[in-house]
Amino acid sequence: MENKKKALLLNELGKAQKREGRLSKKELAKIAKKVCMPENEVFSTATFYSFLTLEKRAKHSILLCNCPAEYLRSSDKISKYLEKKLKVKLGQTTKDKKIYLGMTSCIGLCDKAPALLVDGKPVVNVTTKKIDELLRSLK
Amino acid sequence: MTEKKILFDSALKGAGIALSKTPTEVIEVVKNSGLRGRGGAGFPTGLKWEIAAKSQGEHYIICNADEGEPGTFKDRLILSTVPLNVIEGIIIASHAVGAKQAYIYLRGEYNYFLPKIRKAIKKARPLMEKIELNLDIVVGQGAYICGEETAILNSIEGHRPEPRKRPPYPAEKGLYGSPTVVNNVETLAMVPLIFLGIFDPKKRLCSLSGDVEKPGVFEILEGKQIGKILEEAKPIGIPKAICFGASGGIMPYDPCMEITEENIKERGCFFGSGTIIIVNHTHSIVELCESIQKFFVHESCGYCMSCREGSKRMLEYIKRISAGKATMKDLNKLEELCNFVSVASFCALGRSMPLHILTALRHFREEFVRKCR
Repeated sequence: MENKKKALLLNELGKAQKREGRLSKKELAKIAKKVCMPENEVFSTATFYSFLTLEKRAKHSILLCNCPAEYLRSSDKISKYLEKKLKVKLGQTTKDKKIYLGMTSCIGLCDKAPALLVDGKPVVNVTTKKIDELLRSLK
Repeated sequence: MTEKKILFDSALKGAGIALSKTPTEVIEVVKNSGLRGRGGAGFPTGLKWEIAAKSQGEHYIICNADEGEPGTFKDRLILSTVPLNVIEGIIIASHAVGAKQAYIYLRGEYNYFLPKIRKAIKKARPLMEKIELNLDIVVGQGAYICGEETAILNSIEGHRPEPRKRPPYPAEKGLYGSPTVVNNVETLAMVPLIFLGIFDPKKRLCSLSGDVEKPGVFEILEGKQIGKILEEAKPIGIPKAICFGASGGIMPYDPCMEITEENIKERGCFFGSGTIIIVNHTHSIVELCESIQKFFVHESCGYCMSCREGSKRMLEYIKRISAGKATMKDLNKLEELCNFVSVASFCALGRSMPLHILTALRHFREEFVRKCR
């Protein structure tokens, strides 16, 4: 029974992250109690994953795929364009805390490259024009 | 997104037939079918089930839906078109090894498939109740290493997803130290087809991308010429090299080469999860290696020194070569470092990390030498 609770940890962390936009110490303690695990271990697990954060990142997230198939379809142009438009570097949040621009391992959309994950949803065959539209809709 | 269907929809018929047989019979059928794991390692599926079934303890089934290998998207297509086949595969596997608890480990990047998978589980509910199986979904939170079959165990147990030492293999001692079968999405989706009598072990799914006009998932018969596949996919420019994902290596494009694991292995590469990325004449192999190495620096889990530090130092060398600032001595050092990392790393991620550079140096050495002082 206790084992089954442990398997809930990742889902609980994901849900809290989605709800609060970050994992606070209080939240981690609450989850640790729920899954019957020591707080420090929950902390150690939570800090491993790239989707989980202790500090609030931004309202929206734009994740770029870092795989070589995307690179061949000029994803670097797209990432440079995004960096220019948002005035941030990869892995940073815009000044107004609205958009986080990051990288993630291959998102499995290489056949529709270049592709992005915007707030967890795929945007495919990205062009600079599409980015302009996207950024307008996120504001 | 609408996707074209590539696999036959078993619609619970395959699982129905399998559940009317005894577990031993099911394992025998899967063993005789010649099905091998489609996640990369290619271990015979029936044998894995048999080992787990014979081991003592509570049994678990894990569906590895953490498809993170760059250039691979066949599992995405399966999950979006025939998710029920995968659930059937899980049910059949649970029946065969006697598992009462199964998990689908879905990568965070595929979070948007959750409703589809939940719907498929609902449809399969009567069959699951018949064998008293409980099926839960664990959603990953963005880590390439979780595709490794022992890292996935640590991840589900709530620990940091670092790989475990093997042996013992998960089939003997896996989740919570109990016998666990970890199977890839494609492998499980094939299982119901075996019971419908339409499974062909010589056919496999292959994700084709890169410099082609029509990328996508192709079902290829073993031994098909790569040129024939490219006729369908329509190359952009002149194909120069084939890259088998980040950890599969790079080899020169040869239209007459028949796609078999042996042929690919002969050229130092690894077909693994069926990934083919076409690289054309406009791209530099050194820059391609740089982009692959950046990926590994991002995804190394940090557990062992060889992979954690090695990946970064390798990237430094490649960046220097790419910028034209390296000497031949640097190139030799890079090769030495690659050879070291490929034997000293703890898990398959680290050991296969230098493969793209080593194969690139074997087949495209002059491109590196030209950039060195």
